Amino acid sequence: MSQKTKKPETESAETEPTIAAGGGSAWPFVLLVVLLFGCFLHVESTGGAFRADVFQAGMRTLPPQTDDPPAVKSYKRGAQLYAAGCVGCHQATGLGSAALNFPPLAGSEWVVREKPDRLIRIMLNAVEGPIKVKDITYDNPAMLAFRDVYSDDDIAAIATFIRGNAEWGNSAAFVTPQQVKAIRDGTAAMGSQKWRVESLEPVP
Amino acid sequence: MTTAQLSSQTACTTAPSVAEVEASCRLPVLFLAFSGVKWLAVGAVLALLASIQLYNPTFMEGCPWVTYGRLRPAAVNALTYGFALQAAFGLSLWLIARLGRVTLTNTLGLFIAGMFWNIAVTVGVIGILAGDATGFDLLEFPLYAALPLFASYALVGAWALVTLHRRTERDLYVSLWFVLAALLWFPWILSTAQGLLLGWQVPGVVQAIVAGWFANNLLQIVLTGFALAVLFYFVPKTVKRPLANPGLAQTGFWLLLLIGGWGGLSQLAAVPAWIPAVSGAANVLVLVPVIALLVCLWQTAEGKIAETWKSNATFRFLLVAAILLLGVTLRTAVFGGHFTQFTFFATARTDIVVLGVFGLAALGALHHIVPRLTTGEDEMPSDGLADLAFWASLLGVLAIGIGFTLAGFKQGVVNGSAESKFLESAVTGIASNLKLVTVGYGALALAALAFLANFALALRRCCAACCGGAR
Repeated sequence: MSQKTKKPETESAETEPTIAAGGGSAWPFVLLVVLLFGCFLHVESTGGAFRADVFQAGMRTLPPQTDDPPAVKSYKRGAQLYAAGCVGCHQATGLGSAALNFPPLAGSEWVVREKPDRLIRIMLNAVEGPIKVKDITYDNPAMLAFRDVYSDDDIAAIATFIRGNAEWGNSAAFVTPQQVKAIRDGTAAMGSQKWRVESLEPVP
Repeated sequence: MTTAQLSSQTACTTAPSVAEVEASCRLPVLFLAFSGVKWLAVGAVLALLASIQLYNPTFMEGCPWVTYGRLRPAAVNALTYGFALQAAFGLSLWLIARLGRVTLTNTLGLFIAGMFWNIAVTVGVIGILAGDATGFDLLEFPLYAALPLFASYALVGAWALVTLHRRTERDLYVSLWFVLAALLWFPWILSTAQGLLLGWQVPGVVQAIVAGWFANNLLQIVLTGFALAVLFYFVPKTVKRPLANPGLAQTGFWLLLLIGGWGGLSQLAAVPAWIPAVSGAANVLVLVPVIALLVCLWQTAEGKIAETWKSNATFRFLLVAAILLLGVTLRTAVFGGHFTQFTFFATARTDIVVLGVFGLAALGALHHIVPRLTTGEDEMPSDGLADLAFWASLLGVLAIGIGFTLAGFKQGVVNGSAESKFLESAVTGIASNLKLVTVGYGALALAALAFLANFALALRRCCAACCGGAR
């Protein structure tokens, strides 16, 4: 490595930079204002109107909520109807009460059958006489016939809720108003007569 | 007020000589500079290994310590905390001492705090390689490294501010504005981000916002601020002219602090739409202070640029750093939107700011400071090694910046059209660009080694002079 002779200390190494007199320019502020205008346009068009719930650039409001599918709507309405008309005996838990002679709906083999035909019949005309649910025999004549109380839609909604209530452990398929209407018309001759277990058993 | 005047008057009579000021800087500044550039070499090698895995995925496969997901954060954090911030502390101490005409407070304490900083960075890098990374961009150090890191910064920062307070030259020169702003800004953003992310543990989307805010402030205010401090000190000094138009510098300084912190979030996904919109606007607005500051420097150097380029090693680094500052700001302002979202384009900003804007400015400054503090001369012992360090670092930064940027554009085109084949165009198709990045990191490591060799020569000559050639 070449040995350099030590240079004399130059002035620049010893002294600090100084500041020239005067100064100050307006053009940065002019440029700032021009750019700010463009920025306002940009934020106005892509900023989602500063809403905390708008995530998509270019939108100013929430995207329209997509409707629930019919089965989900029916289930939700069924939950309300259940709370009004059924909860008194069968309870919010769907377990009924063995002590008070109210049969359960949760896990009941009469409810979660593949076909809802028996359930719809019971809801339309009620059932009386001894009935065995989950190995316990109940005999309660208090079950009401809802033929003249609830529409096809209502009964389908309640049946959908009861059969598909995951909180109760039920997971049977939903019920349509058409299914209810077919059974209502087919059993119109029964009038106010209630079902008995023996007369329901041939039903699939 | 009267006490301040009094102390200023009494201090003026006891203002230390330049030799005394530089003697007080010797230990801490040289230590921070040497270990900083050492981390530059280590970080560049780690980043080089990581970049190979981008186009050759089976490279070093099978060992979890050297997978891409650990190597890349380890490299970026080593470069940011080990090299950039550490070198920035050294430069700040030197600028405060020189411009304030004051000897450093507690040089031994600064040296020890610097050592603890290095230990914390080492622990953090090893922690990342061991799989303890936090997963937040530029904040990957695990808590057991982040806390000591913050503590050692608190000591360095506090003693730097005490030194500044005890200065005998009461007027704050432009460079000290930037040093002071960055020294105060850094603990604010670091403690806020670490506190929210690792302490408070804010939920989901807020994490991305906090981490993005921290990374942008670190790059745009802290590291760019340190780079500007260096530029405003050395440009007037090397062209031997007073700083032209200080009013413009003042405008640029305050606008940078006002606007700079808002950018950097324009490519966040799954956040409320106003955040990327406002942040994109700030990315454009920050052009104003950057251009104002660069115009101020240009007016100072105008007409003497070619002459100084040839005669002064430091000035070459500074000129490139200034051009890169303009380039990286323009690039983010124009292309920083949805087109380059989720591409290598954003990756390149960190590299260009840390290694290019700050890194080149710092290497330039060190080519002046290191010989002053060792041999007492104005230039490094070996011109050849100084040339090598300049050209290799210039090539390295350009290769990394261009490679990542082009790769990002190609990915952006693919992301924007359903017809193009993703794997063919966006993964294997950018291999040539990424190979350029590998070359860039290699060149940077070479530049760091060239500077370290020059540094060692200077130290050896200094020791020979001090100890009468006993070694």
